[in-house]
Amino acid sequence: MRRGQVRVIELLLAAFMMTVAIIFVMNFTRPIRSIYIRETSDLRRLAYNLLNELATAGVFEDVIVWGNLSGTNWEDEMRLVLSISLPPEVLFKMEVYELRFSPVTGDITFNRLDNGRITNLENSDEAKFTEAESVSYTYVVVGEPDKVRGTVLYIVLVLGFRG
Amino acid sequence: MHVILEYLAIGVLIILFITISLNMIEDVTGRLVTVKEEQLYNVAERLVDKILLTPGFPADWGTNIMVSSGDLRDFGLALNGTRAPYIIDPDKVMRLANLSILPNPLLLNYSRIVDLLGISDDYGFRLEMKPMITHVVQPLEWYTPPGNRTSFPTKFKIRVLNWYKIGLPNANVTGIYVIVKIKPGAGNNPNKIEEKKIFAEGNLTDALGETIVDFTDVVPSYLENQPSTNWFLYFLLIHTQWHGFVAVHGYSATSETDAPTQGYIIGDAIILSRELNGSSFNPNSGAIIVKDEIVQAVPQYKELLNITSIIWCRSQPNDPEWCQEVASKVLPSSEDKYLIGKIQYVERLSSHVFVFAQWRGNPICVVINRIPEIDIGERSAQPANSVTITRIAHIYNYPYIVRLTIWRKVEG
Repeated sequence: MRRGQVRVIELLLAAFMMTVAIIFVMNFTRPIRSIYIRETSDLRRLAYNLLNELATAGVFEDVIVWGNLSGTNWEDEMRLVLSISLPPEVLFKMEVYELRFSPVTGDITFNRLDNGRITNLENSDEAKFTEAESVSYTYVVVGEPDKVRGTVLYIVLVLGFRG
Repeated sequence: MHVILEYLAIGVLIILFITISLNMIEDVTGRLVTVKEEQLYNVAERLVDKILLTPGFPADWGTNIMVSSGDLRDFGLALNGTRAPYIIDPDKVMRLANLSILPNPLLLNYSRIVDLLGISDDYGFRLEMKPMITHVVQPLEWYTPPGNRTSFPTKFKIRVLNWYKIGLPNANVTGIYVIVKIKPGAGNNPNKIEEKKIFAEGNLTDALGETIVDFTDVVPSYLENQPSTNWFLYFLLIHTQWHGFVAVHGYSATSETDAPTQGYIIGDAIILSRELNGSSFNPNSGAIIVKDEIVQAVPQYKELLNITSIIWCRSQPNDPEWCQEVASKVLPSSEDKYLIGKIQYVERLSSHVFVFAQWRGNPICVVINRIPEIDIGERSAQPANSVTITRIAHIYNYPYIVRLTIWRKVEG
C-alpha cells in the first residue's frame, strides 16, 4: 500500500516537472515580436528617404551650414523642418557632427555641432520609444558658401513611436 | 486512503493538462497574430514599392490617352525610364484625379486599382497623395475697372501649409499675377490674345505660415487705362520656396461660383467641361503653360509663361483624325460631357496649364494643376488593425507625399 502511494507521488512529481519544463520551453522559444522588426525596417526606410530629400533640397547647407556660420539658432529651424516633413505620429531625434580628418596623423574626429535639441521629444534623455530605428548619413557639403564646400557632415537620425 | 490519493492525483493531472493546453493554445494564437501583423507590413511595403518604383504596363499608360483602365495590365506610378527612385509620372497621377465639378473620363478607379494590385479579395486600402507644401489663397481686395463688369482681385492672403495643414513660417512666397488682354472676335474671327502683363510680388510668411501679396498699386494702374472693348483674364501663380523645398500653386476665380474652372491634361489631351467653348479662341493662343520650376527660380517671370496652341475637337466630321479616335475609343459613352483638345506643346516639367475659354458668353481661365491631391480608397473603414506607410516622392522638382494604408477586409 505504501509502495502504491509512493508511485502516485512519483507520478505527480514527474507530471509537475514535465509541465514546468514544457511551459519554460514554450516561453523561452517564443520568437522576438517580428512586428517590431518590420515596423523599424519601415522607419529606417523613411529616415533614409527623408535624409535624401533634405540633401537634394539643399537643406543641410541652408540650415546647418549657414546656421553654424551665422551663429543663429539653427537647431530650432532644423527641428521645424523635420516636424513639417515627418508624419505627426513619428518621434525623431537628430544629431549632427562634423567629421574632421587630420592629414598628418590620419585621425578622424567627430565634432558635434548641435545642442541636442533637434527633437520633438519633451525630455529626450528619459523618453522611451516603443519602436525606434537609428540611421546614420554622411553628407559632403556641395553648396555655397565656397569656404565650407567639401565639409563632411555625419548625421544621426532616430525615428520611432512613443512608448 | 489510497483511493483518495488516486483521485487527488488524477485531479492534479487534469489541472496540469488544462494548464498546458491553455498555454499551448495561447502560444499558437500569439504566434499567428504576430505572423499576421508582420504579413500586413510586408504587403504594405511591397505595395508601396510596387506603386512608386515601377512604371506599370504599358509603361506609357499615363501619357497615352488611348490606354483605358481596362487596357492597363500592371499598376505603377513611376516615371518611365527614370533612374532615381520615387520619381512619379504626373500624367499617371492625373489618371487618378477626380474633380468634383468634372469627373475624370479616364479615371482609374479604386476597384480597378485593387484588381491590378491583386488585393481585391483580402485587403482594403487607401492611397493618399498630396504636395508636401500646399497653399490656401484668399482674395482680400477687388478692383473693378470703369466700364467693366469683371472684378479683379488685387490683394491676396496666402497660407502656406505642410501636407497635414501646419503653417510654414519663413517660406519665401512669390506671387506672379498675370493679366491676359484679349481682343474679342467678331463673326468668324476668334478671340485673340493681344498681350500678357505680368506682375510679381514676393514676401515671407509669418509664424502661422501666412503672408499678404499685394498688387493694389500695379493692377488698377494697368487696367484703368485699358479700353473697355477688350476682355481681360487673370490668374495668379504662387511659387513658394521653403528651405530648398519648392511648391507651385495656380489660382483663378470668377464671380460665377459654378463655373467649371478646372480640367485635366493627360498626355497632350486637354479635357474640359462641355459647357465651355474653347474654339472661340484663336487656336494659336489657347493656353498658357508654366515652364519648368528650375527656370522659375530665375526671376525673369515673363519667360516662364509660354503661350501655346490647342486644337479643339468639335464633334464634326472634318475633325482631325486624333479627335475621331478619342471620340470612338476613349469617350464612346460620355462624349457629350467633355470638351477635348490637343495641346500642341506641353513641357514635361510644366506644373500648371491655364486654358482660355468662354463660358456662357464670358471669357474664363481654366486652371489645370498637374500636381493634384489624390485620395483613393475606403475613407469610412475602421479596421481593427491597419498599417500606414509614408514616403516622400517627387513630381518634377516638387516633393509629393504618398501615404498608403492597408488593412484586412475581415478586420473591418
